[in-house]
Amino acid sequence: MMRKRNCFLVLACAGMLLPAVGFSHHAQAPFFDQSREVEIEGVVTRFDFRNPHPVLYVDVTNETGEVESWEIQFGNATGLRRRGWHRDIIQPGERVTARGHPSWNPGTHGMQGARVRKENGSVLGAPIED
Amino acid sequence: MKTTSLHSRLLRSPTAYRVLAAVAVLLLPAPSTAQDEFPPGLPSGPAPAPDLTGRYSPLTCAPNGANCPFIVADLILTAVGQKMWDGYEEVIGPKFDCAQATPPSLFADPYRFAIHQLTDRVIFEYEKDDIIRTVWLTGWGHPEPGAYDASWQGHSIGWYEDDTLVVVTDRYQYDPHGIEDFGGIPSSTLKRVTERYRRDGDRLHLQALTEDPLILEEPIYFEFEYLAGPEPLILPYRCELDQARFPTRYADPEKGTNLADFGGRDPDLVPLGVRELEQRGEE
Repeated sequence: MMRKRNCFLVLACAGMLLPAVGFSHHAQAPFFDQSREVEIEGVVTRFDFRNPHPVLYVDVTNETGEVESWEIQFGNATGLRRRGWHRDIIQPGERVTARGHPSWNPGTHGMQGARVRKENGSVLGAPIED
Repeated sequence: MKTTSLHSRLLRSPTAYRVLAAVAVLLLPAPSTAQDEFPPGLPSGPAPAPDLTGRYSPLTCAPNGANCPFIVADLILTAVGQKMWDGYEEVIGPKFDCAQATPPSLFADPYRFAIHQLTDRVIFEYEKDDIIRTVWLTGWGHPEPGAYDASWQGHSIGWYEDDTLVVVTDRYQYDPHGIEDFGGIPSSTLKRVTERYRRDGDRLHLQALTEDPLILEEPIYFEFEYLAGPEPLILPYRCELDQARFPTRYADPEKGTNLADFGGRDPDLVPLGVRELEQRGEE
């Protein structure tokens, strides 16, 4: 059964994650709770491999049996392509688990900074922030 | 008597053709050392010394990778700059509508770029946001930009000083994150960026100076190094509008998107200059 596994606090201070140096990308903290990580397990419905942020769509059945459509946001497609990613690297129907920072907005199911693991144990990619 | 002009006689003479051909060859520019003819159809010619043409990957700040490209807390902002930074809402960033990255943040972006040296201009071609920057070399009669010609990448002129390409860019448009694009330090239309590129073997060295009297009390200076390599650029970037604004749906409307509300206004990040102004009661 696909289900949302758990939700837990990993860091007490979101500010600790904010960089003190100038970076050339946008801040994630206003959109994703950098103080928490959640882990989901579900089935891929779509992989949108486009710039500036590819998105993996995963249907997850929660504890009440409802299907939640999660949207996992990655870094840029250019950098991922350089690391060997391509639009067919993951297919609809594949079962995955993903752990990352959840979105702030109530009622949304976004995730960022995620590590996605396929059913065979291989990791789709490490978090990429560029 | 039949008269024949010198011009006609020359055109009829095989010897004259050979002479003309030889002269033409001498007058033609030497083969360009450029790896790419970019863009096609533009005048190309001998790559002037120094030869900077090539493709480059970002390495790190020079000389030791520290403070790369700068520490926000070390920036000395004007009172106006500080207020704008304090009030910056991430969601207002034009990058969420595919606005291009701009200098100086662009210089440290984790993307490759290429330099194409042509006769009267130098073109910087970036993977990031499909950016093309044209640097108009002085001495070729390029017209000055008009009053309405401000843009994301501004207007660049350049020249060579011994082994160095110097680029000066102004005429930027107002950019909500034109100084620092992570936390949203803006740049005004007075932003001016000076770049000095010098190549040493497979390393391209950049000295970058950013001035903006409306935002910065003191200019930002840093040095950066890039590694030359044969790998092609991954193009096009093709930013998609719907995808670019995608993350903003995740912001909690009640929380907003100001970094100050997410731990981003740590006292250590307050620019020193503003702190000093506050102590003097001028803020």
